[in-house]
Amino acid sequence: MIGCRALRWLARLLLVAAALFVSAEIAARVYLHVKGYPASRYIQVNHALRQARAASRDGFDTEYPYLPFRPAPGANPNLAANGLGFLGEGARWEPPERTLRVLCTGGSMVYYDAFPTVLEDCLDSLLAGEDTGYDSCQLLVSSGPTWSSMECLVYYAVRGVYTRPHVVIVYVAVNDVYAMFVPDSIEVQPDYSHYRISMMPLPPVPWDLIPGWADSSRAVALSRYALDRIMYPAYQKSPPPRLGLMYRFYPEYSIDTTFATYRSNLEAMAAIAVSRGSSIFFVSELHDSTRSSSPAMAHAVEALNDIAEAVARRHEAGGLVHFVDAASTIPADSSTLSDKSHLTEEGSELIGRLVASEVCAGLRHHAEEP
Amino acid sequence: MRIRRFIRNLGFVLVGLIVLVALLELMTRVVLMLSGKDYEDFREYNAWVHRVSTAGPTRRYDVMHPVLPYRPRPLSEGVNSQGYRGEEFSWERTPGVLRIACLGGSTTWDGWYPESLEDRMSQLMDSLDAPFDSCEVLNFGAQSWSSTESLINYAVRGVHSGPHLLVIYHGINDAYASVLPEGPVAQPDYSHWRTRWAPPPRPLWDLFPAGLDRLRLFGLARYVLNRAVLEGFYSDQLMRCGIRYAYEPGMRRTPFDTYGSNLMSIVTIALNCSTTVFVVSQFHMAELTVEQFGNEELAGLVEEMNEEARSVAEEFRGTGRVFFLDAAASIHPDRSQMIDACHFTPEGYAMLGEWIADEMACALEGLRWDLPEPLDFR
Repeated sequence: MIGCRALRWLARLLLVAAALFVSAEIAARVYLHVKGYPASRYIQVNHALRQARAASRDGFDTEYPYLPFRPAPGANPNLAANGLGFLGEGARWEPPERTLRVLCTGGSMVYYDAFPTVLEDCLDSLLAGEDTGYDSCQLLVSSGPTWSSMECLVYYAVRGVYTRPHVVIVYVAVNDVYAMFVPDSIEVQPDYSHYRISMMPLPPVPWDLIPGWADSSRAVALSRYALDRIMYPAYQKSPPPRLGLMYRFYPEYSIDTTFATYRSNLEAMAAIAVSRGSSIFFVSELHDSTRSSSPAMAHAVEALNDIAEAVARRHEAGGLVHFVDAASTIPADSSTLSDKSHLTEEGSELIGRLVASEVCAGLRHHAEEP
Repeated sequence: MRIRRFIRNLGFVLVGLIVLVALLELMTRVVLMLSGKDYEDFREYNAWVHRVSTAGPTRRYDVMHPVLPYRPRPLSEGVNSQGYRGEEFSWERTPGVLRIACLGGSTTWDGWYPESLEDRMSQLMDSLDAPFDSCEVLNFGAQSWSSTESLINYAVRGVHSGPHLLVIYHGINDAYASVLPEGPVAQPDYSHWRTRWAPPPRPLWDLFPAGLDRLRLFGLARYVLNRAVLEGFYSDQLMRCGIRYAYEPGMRRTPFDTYGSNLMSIVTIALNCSTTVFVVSQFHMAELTVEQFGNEELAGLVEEMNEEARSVAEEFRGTGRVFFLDAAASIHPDRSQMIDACHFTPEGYAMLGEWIADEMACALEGLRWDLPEPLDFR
């Protein structure tokens, strides 16, 4: 009897809730229709703010002052994050005895792909069979998705140098190319700040628990928008963009070469590495021109690879700056690349082995403690 | 019958609640009175939380730069479109113009020393028959920047201006950043000291109207919750420049030689671009530090930074392109020329700028003004 009554109450309650929801939905649709506002306007803003708030859940540290974002511990399932702010196993600033410490820096190809771990394995086996003064290798990965040479340089200069790496590997190009393609309305900046801003941290709010697809209900979208407006009045007009990227790439954008940012960044990394007695290897980036976003993009990647080679040549007399021409040695096709630039397992294997053998060759020529 | 009973019960509950709130309010007022604390302080803190958590990023500074915690907002008062203090300049050097870039914190940002350096250098160049028509000084300083921000700013922006000469005048901000309280783990890039300059998050209870703070009970409850959630955000500091904590004597030192490492990186990048570097020790009036903090510890830290600067310059002396100018030991301002231990009055800054120009001209005479054309890699 009691159960029956409770069920009746519940049914009534649900009926009232449904009626309220339908009324709110009708009211929201009428409001949008009368005002002539498209619902997408609200849904997009909601989405952008939700993404900004989800940054910490995506595994990014958005509090760090010197990068747009950096991977937070546990962000990459392939590599354990350490307490030094890098991916990898090293937990002390000082390199362990008789261990070759390698700092590998770049964008998503270094962050997601298996190339750094292959490199570490290959170096381990190569070092075991040679008299280089090192028994094994310890890899530290300094990278994040969409990082360009600028983020690589900054993180190396202000943090990477303290890990005292014996070897620095730089594998970055296409993310610089994205930053070099600029819409006409934008004034180019030497530090790519026309393309990238910092990823602004926003704390989560309870209504984030309502899933994004619920915004297809106009009542939910407008309610969420209203709540965000109350909570973050300053951010609603310009929500922080995901990964801090200001605009997307379109092939019709023209490439801007006002500043030689890529070259300048590589030069700075080389200068810092040499001053610390570290060997630095610039590895040319593989790019499948048949799957490239545009022919101009493929040419630009090639041009940046040439610049990397030129920087290495300028410093070659010192014996610490090297160029590994992976792009000319390894075919860039569907067997090595899963899209225009991300590596397949085979691609990672080939690059890892190639770089490891070049590093060993470099060590034979120049063995010095940084 | 049932409805009437329900209304009666509801009335009892409401009256009970009102009596309870009134009692608690009374108790809160009594406690506040007995403790002698001014309720307005709590209310002001709540108002500050509301203000800063809803205002969005600060307007005078660009806090969205991708690799700097903040920088002067381009085209704000006194700032050019490149985001530096002073007049507009072109990234391309003008032929025949000696370009000098100054890196530093607020002592550089204040502007008077770079200005007097430019004036004095122009005069000296005329009299010394230098192979330049004029001199141009770019002020790359910003308030509270340490050598970490200067290194980043120079590496990713400053180098593109291709200066012939670089002046580094740092010390005090690195001294602040090189000490920390118990708790945080020391970081080599000073990120234990500095974070993003972002507004604090808005707490949910801030959605209740401010008028409710007239009730001491509500205002204090809000205050306690605000304090709990915003621990580490200081209303007096207002997260100023993203600094996490204020300096206090007796804090522990970081184990890292961040200042030396940053200077070394700046110098190597500059030399790689054929830019000549002048590292200047920072003047610090110890007696003013004693007045402020009760002891000379901070002055000692700045002295250590200056020693670090000397040793970095010494390390690169063989290149013939790195000079150490010991302003800390050579200039002797009196107290009337100082605003605090490291900031000068305009007259004091003029003295510093002129001294640097004289020493610089002397060094350049030694090089017979043979300055290589700086590389910008374009």
